[in-house]
Amino acid sequence: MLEESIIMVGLLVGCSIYLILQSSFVRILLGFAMLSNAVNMFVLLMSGSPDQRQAPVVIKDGPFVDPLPQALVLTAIVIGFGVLGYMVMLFYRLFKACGTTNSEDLYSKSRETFLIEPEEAEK
Amino acid sequence: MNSLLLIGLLLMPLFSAAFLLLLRRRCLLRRGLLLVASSLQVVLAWMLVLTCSDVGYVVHSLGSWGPFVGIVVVADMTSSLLVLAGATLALVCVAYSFFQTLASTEHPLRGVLIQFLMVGVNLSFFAGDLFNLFVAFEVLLLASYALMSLEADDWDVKQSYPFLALNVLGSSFFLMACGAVYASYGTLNLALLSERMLETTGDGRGAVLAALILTVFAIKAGAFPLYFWLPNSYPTLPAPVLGLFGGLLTKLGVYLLMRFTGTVFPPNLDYHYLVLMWMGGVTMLLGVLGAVSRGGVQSILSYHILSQIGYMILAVGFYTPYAFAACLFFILHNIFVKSCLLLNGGVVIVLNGTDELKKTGGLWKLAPLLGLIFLLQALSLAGIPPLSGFWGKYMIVLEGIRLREFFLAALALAVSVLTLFSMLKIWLGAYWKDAVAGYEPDLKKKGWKGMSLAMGVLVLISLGMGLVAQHFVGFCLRAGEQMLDAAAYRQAVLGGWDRRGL
Repeated sequence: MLEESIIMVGLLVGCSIYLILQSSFVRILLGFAMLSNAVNMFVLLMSGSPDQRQAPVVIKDGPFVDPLPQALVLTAIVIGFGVLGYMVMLFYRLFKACGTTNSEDLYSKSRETFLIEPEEAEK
Repeated sequence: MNSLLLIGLLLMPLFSAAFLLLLRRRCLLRRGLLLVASSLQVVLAWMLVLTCSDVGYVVHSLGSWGPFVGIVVVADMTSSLLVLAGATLALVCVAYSFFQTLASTEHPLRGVLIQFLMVGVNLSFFAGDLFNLFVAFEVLLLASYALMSLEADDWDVKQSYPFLALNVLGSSFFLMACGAVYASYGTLNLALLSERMLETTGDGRGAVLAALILTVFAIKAGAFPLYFWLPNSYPTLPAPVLGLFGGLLTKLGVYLLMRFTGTVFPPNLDYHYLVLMWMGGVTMLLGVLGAVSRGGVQSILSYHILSQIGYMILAVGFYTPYAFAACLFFILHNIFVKSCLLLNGGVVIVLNGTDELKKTGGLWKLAPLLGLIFLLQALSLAGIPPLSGFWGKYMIVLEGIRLREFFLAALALAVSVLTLFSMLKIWLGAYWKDAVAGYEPDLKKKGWKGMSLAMGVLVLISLGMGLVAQHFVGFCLRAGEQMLDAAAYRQAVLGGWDRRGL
């Protein structure tokens, strides 16, 4: 159980880093969403495997699953969601302001070419 | 009573932010409330510094659950002093922004976000728990992301993305480190963590986790390989917010480097100290060279923040009480001097309409007092005695020579000369040379006198730090020793609580 999860976290982090390094904003966004999920899963894993252990809900005997990482992950999910929400708005604003969703286009423009209206640039 | 001060410093900005949010349309009331809240924070922080100076540590266990199962907030001399400096700076920046823009045209969310930023900053200084620190960082970062793009125009707004991306990556590392620390040591409380790390010295996990956590703080501080988010994004901020960011945020990263190497991690991570030391050396050199290459007042100064961070990280890497005291003194000096220079750059923008050195000029003849403010602070930054920057650099270089790190000490001195050079570039470009035709400074612009008055407060503080350095250095030396005394920290946080088998 633990081993599979660790491999899963590794795969997710790898894919997310690949996506973050792309130049399209949509991919970058998906990359960051995936990264935050991968990290949350990593924290959740720190509870240890639930095999042979009880959920700490009512008082019973037995080795319990550690409940703290779940509390941590709840906070982390909320924070990650907030940051992702900000990121979506930022990309939307960049798209509105610059008319592109490609970071390569966006950062290669100089201030002079940027200030020309798009219609004039086409001429 | 003492814990009330601590809680007050966390709740005061939170409540004022909430109330400011309600007052979107009442601009004068909003300003009044912001000013009162900022001033009260300064008073509270001042009382906390006095208390910490007397009793050493102020510890509050939230909900009285104790450090073993609950969350604690801890203030010691270093953190309370830095919170006082931060609160003072925030007050000055708020006053400065009142003069800069009319109440009716000011963005209604700026004050709110500054208060949220202060919640995050204060909580990060006081956090006694690794996950709590993570949450504090996120509060601070979300407020800073929002401030970064709040008033940016269509051209500038794209600089928020690199800022966002690197900080989100840093936060992911941080969260991962929290999880790994909990799995390895079974606790997130810093005092308990320090105890358990000390018990298992020689265990490889400790060194790896320490490296991961220090990397996160190095990203926040803007140290050498990880500083690319800073120099392009900061100059796009409006001057009062830039002053606050430049003065506080990176220094928070350095404070946490000090806190974790000094108090939390065991004192035998020699390899980490070596890396920190050289990271500091390279950061200060590259920062100052980058600053020399830039052509605008704010972008030179923003790049230059990195160079100063290099000095602080160098001092952390030396890892002696004296070096920590030097680092604290240097941080304090930098909070006031660097922000004052950035605010001064804001006045240049108001008067000239731009801060590009090709177009500015002639300010020395028209506004000599403004020039004097710049000159005093720039010389202090370069380290000319008896100004405050001299003492900080003197202590760091002295400790470098004592530890026989001659190359790094020489590098620190050489970087000072380059600092003087980049400051001279601004001085010649904006003040000394004649005004460029078509871009003459316009002294009829409103508000710049009031803005200069607000900066005057920072000048007085930094002059005081330089001229009566004895008192400040004495306090810093005590704080530096306290910072490295991990046993006293553990006793203050854990002592007197029932362990209940933990």
